[in-house]
Amino acid sequence: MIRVNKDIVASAFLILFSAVMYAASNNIMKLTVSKVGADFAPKLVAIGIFILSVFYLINSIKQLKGSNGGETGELEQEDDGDQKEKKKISPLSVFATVGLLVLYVALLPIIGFLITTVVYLFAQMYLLADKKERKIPIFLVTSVVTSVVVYFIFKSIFFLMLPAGILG
Amino acid sequence: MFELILEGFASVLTIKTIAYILGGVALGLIFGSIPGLTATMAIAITLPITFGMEPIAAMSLLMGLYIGGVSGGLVPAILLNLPGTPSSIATTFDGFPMAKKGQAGPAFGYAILFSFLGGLLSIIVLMLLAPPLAKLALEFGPFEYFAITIFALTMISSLSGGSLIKGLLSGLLGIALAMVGSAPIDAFPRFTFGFKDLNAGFQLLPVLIGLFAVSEIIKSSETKLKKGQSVQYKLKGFGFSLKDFFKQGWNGLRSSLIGIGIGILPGIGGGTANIIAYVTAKNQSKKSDEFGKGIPDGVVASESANNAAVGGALVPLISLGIPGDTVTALLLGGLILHGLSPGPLLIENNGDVVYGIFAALIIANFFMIAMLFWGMRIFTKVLSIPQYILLPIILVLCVVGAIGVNNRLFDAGALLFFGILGYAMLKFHFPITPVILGFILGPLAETNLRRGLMYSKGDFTPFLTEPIAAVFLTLALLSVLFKIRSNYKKKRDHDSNHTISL
Repeated sequence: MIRVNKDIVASAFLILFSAVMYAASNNIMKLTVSKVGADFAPKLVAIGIFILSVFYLINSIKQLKGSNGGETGELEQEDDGDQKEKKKISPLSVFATVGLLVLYVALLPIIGFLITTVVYLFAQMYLLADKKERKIPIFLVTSVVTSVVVYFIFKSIFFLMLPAGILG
Repeated sequence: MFELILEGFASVLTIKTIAYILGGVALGLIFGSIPGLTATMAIAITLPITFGMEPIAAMSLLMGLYIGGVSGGLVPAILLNLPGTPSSIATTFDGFPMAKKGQAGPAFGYAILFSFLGGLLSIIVLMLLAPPLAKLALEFGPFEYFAITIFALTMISSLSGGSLIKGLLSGLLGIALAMVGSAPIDAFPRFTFGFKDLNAGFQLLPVLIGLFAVSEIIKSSETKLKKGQSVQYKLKGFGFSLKDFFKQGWNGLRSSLIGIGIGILPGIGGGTANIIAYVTAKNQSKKSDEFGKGIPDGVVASESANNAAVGGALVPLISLGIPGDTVTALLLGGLILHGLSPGPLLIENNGDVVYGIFAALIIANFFMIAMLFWGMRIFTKVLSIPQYILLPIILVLCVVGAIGVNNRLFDAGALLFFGILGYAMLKFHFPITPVILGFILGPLAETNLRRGLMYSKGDFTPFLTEPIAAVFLTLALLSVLFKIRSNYKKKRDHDSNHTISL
């Protein structure tokens, strides 16, 4: 049941997306002489997304209604996969990972590559590992070594300037 | 042509390039053998490193990664019943039962040898097929090119996932994402919403790495990760006789041809080829009830098909500049990074690079078989490195790679955005491959559409009346209709007996 609702959310989002895309296409500049300008293909794609999303929405609603009786093969298969996944999923951990990533990318230019990367690596390893597997010294050493090695390899061999931040 | 191949070898046979190929194969095998890491990821994080290299050296490295990445999956498939990559799913069906019976040696022997043979055959087909195809494609104008890209896009969208609507939506989403930035031909800005950073559009690399690698890392955080698996195994010889080898000859050849054919088709590659070859081998065999209980035929079918798909997938990339799957999409990115323009002119203008690629593939194939035989202990060791240490390191390399493209931090933000988008798509069961192909092929289709309309002065009919264009557009339509019909049939079968048929 949850899956079908997910489908409705996704299709509604895509319908909205196509509407915004079409509206935004009207603002694209174009030469007056040619009929097919820079806005032609975006509008076509927006219309395509709209039509398919409407089909998708109709299908999802149909399945929601029919789910009391027999479901389609495809849905059942996907449900099986979902249930297997669901056993141990922790949304908190996913949010924490995304949060870490956002912080990492945001702080990279300010604090600099070396420090931010050490902190990120350590935090991410700690987060991903099972409680019994949390070996703080190993995580710490790997984080520092990786960060330093990556920084100097890219700086001196590939001449890629990584943000030095407060150390620079 | 023979001379060109020799020249190709000559350009690759330098100590530096050979070292790159060797390193590429080794890294590819490591990525392939660790479940959860794929050839796509290996190439994605290595691409930025190739910036400073000569095109031939860079492409050689990438070819090594490709061959290694596809082949490495057989190690955990046989030892642990875990496919290292999607290309080795069918290898687990018989490889693991063989290992359980104490026949891990022969299972590896068959898998490695037929990986090598399947790969070699497909590279030969690639060398024979790509140049004439490119010559043919030189005659194509915008009408034909538009039709071929539309054909490739619909094939990918309809083949890569369970649901046709979701596949097509993914493809369109990819095209929409590619429209951000300057329009082709007249370069008016589109969908930039006033952000200066968006004027150049999204770069291919952050999009690719974000959708494929970052999304997987976010997904892996759903569950707590345990430590790696430790296995000890030492390989001695092939473990089977010459007579046994010839018994598998026809099976290997048929599976290789299936792999090549499927590789050439856009949208599906080794991941599908190994399963189709396995099922075909099972249906054609007299001992079909022994499949799944540990029979070498199953391992041979799966492993020759997945390596054969490599050469197949490179045919449309090299001759037309159209990638058929994610790895070739990355390789296309690699070509562009090095200032080569993919398309039918590639062989004519940069023949040295193309024949260098062919030579590198053959050499990489030899390295692959040698390293798997003598280095098996290393690859089984790698399996014991825990994922919770590997994945964060890979993520840092992804970020470094994304920044490296243009040396701007905006791309790291884009990388993150696409990672979250990719994760959302995984959760909503949308296939990701069509997004990438839409992102690459969308601008190509639009450019050719508008160029064609300039030729015809705004008239759409040539797209339908030019014979080659008409054929490809019809094929595109047929692929959609075929998918609708097979979905309908599946549903009807299901309704009648309420079992899930694969």
